[in-house]
Amino acid sequence: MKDLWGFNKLNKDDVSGTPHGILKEQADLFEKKTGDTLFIRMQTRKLRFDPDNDDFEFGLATHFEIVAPALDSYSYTLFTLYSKPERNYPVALEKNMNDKDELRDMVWERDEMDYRCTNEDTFVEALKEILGSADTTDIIKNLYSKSYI
Amino acid sequence: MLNILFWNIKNNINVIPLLPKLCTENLINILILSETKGIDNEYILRRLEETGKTFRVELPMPGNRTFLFHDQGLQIKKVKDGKFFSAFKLLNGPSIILLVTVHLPSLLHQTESVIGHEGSIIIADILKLEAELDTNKTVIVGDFNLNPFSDSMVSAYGFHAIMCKDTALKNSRTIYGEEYKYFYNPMWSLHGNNKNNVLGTYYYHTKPTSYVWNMFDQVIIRPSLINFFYFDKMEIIDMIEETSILNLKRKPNSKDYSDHLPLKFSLRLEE
Repeated sequence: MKDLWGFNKLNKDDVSGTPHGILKEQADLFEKKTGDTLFIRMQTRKLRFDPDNDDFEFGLATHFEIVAPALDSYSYTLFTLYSKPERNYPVALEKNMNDKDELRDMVWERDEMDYRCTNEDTFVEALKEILGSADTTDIIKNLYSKSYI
Repeated sequence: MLNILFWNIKNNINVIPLLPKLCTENLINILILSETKGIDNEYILRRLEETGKTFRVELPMPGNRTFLFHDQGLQIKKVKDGKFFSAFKLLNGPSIILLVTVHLPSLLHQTESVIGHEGSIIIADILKLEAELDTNKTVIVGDFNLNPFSDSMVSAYGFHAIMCKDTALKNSRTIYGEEYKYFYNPMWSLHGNNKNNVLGTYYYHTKPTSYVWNMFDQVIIRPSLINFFYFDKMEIIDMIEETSILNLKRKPNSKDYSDHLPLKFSLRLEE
């Protein structure tokens, strides 16, 4: 039977530029930088919907977690990527730690994601802000030092 | 017996000197606090020394919305931090209890359905942790900012925490081919119970539709823990020794203490 599919055998290059591919590349870099003391775990979950009461546009949530094997495999969710199963973009990012948290105790809306990205450029820019922030560096150093001693 | 207490202290440092009395009077082993902004964990630990017991704070991390203090030494380990929750494993004889502490965002100005997503994410994480730790003995406690009857509390797509023990003991139900595990919610028996001094943990009577007393602070358990839960010891606390934490109108004294009242419950540990 002839191969009727429109693609050849898939490999790592095929996910390059997709949100999940970019996250994987950053995870690899992270693990090299922390000397494998910490690692990244990405866990994607299907969101459960109440079909009668739901208009949230994303169906998948991917947690980007820092894992510390030396601390009983404790994990810290740095941010969550929301995506649609059938498309690469748009996506939304929600940080775990948020300056707006205090405010959010009073007014919080699901629509108010920290970042909404419609293409690779805006996604990389948002990711750069989260991964390069002082808060993120603090968390990494904190977990690294506790794992190291 | 393990005595656990949760309190949203509304970032009020004046509450801290009451904590040693609260813990001593109620023989608390695990103290979970939320809204501790601006209050150093080390200060809380120093004050807890007044109990005569050695408390520790379990792996506090930036952005945590709840902090867990305990006197259980190495029996408790934090295993995960999510946006609105932290998860801890408790060694319990031959098994493990998964203790999840939550502080969900307030919905006073929001519809309840939006919280369903967060509930859904937390539940997905809990299912994963239960599989990893090979346990069904899960407790969730904290400020849900939901009442026991709220859709997201009860719905199978949310916490699936129901009021009926017998039904919960069936462990799960199937909806459209997918299995949803139950939690049992013992808080129904305290909400609006006029045999008690207070009818909930949080008083709010402003909107046209008002439940007046809300039960935002709740504990829910997997059915496998029903036989290990002391229902007669579950209590909303309104007095700490001789100090009332209510005001003259018999509502939570938010000016001096907190607008939430502490919730205490006890679990029987296995040998």
